[in-house]
Amino acid sequence: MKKVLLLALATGLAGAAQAEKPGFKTGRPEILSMSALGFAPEGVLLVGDGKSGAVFALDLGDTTPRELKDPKPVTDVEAKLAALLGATPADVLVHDMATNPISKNVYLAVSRGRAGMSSQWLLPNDVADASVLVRIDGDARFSVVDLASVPFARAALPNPIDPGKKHAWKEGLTQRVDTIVHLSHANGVVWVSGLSNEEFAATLWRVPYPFAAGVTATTLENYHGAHGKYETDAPIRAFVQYPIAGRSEILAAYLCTPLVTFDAGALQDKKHVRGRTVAEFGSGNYPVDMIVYKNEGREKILIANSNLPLMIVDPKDIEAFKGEITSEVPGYTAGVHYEVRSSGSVQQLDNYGDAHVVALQRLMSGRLDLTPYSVRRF
Amino acid sequence: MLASPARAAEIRVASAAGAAHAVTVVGAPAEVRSGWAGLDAPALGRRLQVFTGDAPGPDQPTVAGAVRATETGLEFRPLFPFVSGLRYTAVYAGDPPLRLTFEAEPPGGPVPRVVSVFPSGGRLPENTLRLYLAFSQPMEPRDVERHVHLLDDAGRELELAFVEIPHGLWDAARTRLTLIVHPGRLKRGIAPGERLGAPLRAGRSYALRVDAGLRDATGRSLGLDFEHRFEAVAADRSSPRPEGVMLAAPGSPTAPLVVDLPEALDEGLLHRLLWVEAADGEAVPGRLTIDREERRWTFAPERPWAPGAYALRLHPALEDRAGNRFDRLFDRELAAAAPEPARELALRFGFEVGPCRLPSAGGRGPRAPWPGSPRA
Repeated sequence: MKKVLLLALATGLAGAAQAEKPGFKTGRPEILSMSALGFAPEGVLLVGDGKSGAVFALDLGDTTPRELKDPKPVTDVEAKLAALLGATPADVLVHDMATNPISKNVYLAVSRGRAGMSSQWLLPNDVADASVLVRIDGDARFSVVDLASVPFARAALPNPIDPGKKHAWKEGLTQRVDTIVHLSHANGVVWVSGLSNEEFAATLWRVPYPFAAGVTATTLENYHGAHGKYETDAPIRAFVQYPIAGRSEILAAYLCTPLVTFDAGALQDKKHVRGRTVAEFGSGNYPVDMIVYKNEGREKILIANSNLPLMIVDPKDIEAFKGEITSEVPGYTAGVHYEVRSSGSVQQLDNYGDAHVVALQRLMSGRLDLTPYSVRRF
Repeated sequence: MLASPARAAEIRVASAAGAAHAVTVVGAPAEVRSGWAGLDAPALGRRLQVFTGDAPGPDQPTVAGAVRATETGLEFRPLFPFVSGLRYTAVYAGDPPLRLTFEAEPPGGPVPRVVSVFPSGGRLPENTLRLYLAFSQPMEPRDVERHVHLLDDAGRELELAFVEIPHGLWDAARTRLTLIVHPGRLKRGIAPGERLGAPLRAGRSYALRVDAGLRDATGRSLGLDFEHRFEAVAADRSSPRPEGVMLAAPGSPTAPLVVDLPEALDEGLLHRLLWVEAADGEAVPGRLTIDREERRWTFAPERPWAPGAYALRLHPALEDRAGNRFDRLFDRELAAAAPEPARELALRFGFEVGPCRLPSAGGRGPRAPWPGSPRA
């Protein structure tokens, strides 16, 4: 009897999970590379697939709210991923991380490609295609998310960059590795940064969400203060949509590390838009993630970097900065004021409820830990 | 009532390369097996678990996979194949419980080999800067420093001979490993060299050994030690002479261009810093052969030579085995006059317009002048 009940319960759960959202169908999403992760409303996971040139929305049924009280670090994430995947810790490579704002479960796009990371300038998507989605739940349990049959929707990006185009300075790579670099949902839009096949390759796609027709692509250029020139082929590495002086802006950070603002309203289909470079945060660095957090009632922007500390930017300072960087920066930094916080080697960063952020961070021991930080620290 | 004697259940592992990997509990009594039929996936998953390592830690995740009851037993199929060289432990929570630690079978297919060592000659200047190892297939870069050794004639390993690069300096295909002799020990008058001396000494013999444990990218190991023996001779402290480059222009539109070099040059750089240009300045595509102990460079064009002018281009950064460039010594007196600024060298040859009027320059006879002026 008990068994029958259990079975009925299980069936009921499966049935609930399979109530499809409009535009979703149930099956195996054919994701070739999990290049970037993010979240849409209602716990829907967004997966940018650079290799396919498409964005997937996965309804994993992960909608049970969880409040975080004094969250604990998860130690040695790579060792646990290795144990889960039956591999060695030196093999596993985390490509991107996103936290579910409802359940606070942490999702990682993972491959077994770390052996290919032979230079400090290589990024995970340069050396391997992430094919495994791993969930870390509130009890720090690791599991592989089974994508054999899930409700999903797919939006193709028009004109992703040709896989045959050689990377300008990474030997042996094609620019296809940067087709999708970062994605972010805001107000019914999934913004996707990457490279398209246009003459000016740096592109921001605007994908209506829930997915619908009318995906737009705008090519971008901006001044790189460290390089002393305008560039059109470097993709935005991290960005947020944020209102500045009442106008919706895309705040974008690039390799070497200019901070650029784009008027979101000007990002129209097939247009080429020049952004305003408002800061230069230092060359020799990839900005890896950018999030908005609130501390003591004030919203600020937190940027994680490959080779620099965590940076805090106050949107009020961007608003107050009327200038624009249009010539080579003589020193190392310039423009909008920012603060730094200790926390080196943060490789992934996301919000973790309202009171915390969570960082995937390489410690001095070499261990990769998932560490929550109170926003009060920032 | 006496229970019938239970047949001993056991854990079996299937981990051959190319086949489906699985861990199976076989031989369990029928009544136990029938009990499995009613269990859901999580419950089955708790019956048979696989961990990495010999003794799973308390918060160690189990290896991802699925457990199902088959006609003969309980079968775990890992989500990803087991990795050769890694140890796993399967735990069956039955009565009695079972436990088996295993390694995946090494994959089949060809065993990796060292196909060449450069410099390929048996006599190397004692200030040789680089050694290259070429392998038959992509290799596993990790821990390469544990498997590659430079030994003296008594079989003792020379410590700190090469620049220590974690996981080695590999090409993108991971078939070519570059070993750089510590420049600090080659250059005269700086601390490491003063203290330790150069690793190689003229008149002595050495062996570059790659031990049998080095694995390829799929986990196959060499299986046999590889050794390349050579003798160190006097240091090479002069730049290669441009006038020593001798070019034999191709004798027919399909014949290769043969270039004799003034001395053995660095094999790696010969692929990049010596090339053939057509009159439009584009590099001519073709296939290179480097032989005679890196003293001969032969270029077979992809398509037959078209009538017109060509130039053999040589970048002055091309080095001999001791790192001496065409335009600069690797190790020179700083007090001496600064070297001339680098410039590229070009040696022209060509085919006149018209069928079979060949060649117009070069040849095995008189040397073409170096440095040649760039193409007009």
